[in-house]
Amino acid sequence: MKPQSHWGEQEFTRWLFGLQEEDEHARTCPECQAELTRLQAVRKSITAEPEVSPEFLAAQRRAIHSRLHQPARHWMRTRIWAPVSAGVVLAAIGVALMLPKAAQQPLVSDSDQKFFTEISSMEQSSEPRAIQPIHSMFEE
Amino acid sequence: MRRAVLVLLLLTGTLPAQLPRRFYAWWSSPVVQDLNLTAEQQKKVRETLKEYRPHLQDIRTAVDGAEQDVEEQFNADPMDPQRVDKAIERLIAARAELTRTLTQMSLKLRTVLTQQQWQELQKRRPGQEKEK
Repeated sequence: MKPQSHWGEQEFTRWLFGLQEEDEHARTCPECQAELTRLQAVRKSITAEPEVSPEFLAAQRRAIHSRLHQPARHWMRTRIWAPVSAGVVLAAIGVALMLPKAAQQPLVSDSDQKFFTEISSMEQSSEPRAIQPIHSMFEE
Repeated sequence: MRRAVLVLLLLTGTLPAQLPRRFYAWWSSPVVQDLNLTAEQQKKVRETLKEYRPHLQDIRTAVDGAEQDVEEQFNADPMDPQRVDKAIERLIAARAELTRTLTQMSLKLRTVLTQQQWQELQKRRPGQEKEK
């Protein structure tokens, strides 16, 4: 049985996706035909490929080609210098860690240390050696 | 002879009181680690010690010689009071020169330190607690 009434949303959707063909009513009914035409226009506008001019595409190819021959860009240089910088930083940290050890080294040589300790001892001895036997007479 | 002994005994009793507080080689003690001397300060300390060392070596020789001289005069028989006096004067002069030179060197080393380091050094001076 052929539907004599206007198409509903379900018929239009099925037609739009190619699941249903136009029937007698749709072909002859001006209102349903108008709706079919409108839906067809909408689908065409959505699915149509964007218009790209040949000039635009040519310019794009030229730009790509010219960039292929340019030297490495900044990010490429960064890629090269990043490990070098990391190495330098690690070396600096190593040196910094070694510095306290260097600071802990004696300030003076063993020879100087011995000499000044001896001088210090001499300066601190309050009595001449010669009087020590006599001085001991007064000690308890 | 009595006068010589008296002078020496007085010397032993009064000289330490006149000296600045006991000199000690702080730069070769562990205390120096706590002062956090900069590389420039360490350099200046080394230079100062190097500068004074030859003169201090001469003074050490002079003090040792004078000590020996006094001992010889004490052991002499008979004693020559004039020679004893001379030996004592030499010893006093040598010790005074030692004190003078060490004090001058210490003053120069003091100028290398900051006020804060100087205070820290005084706090850590050996025997500081006993003197308080």
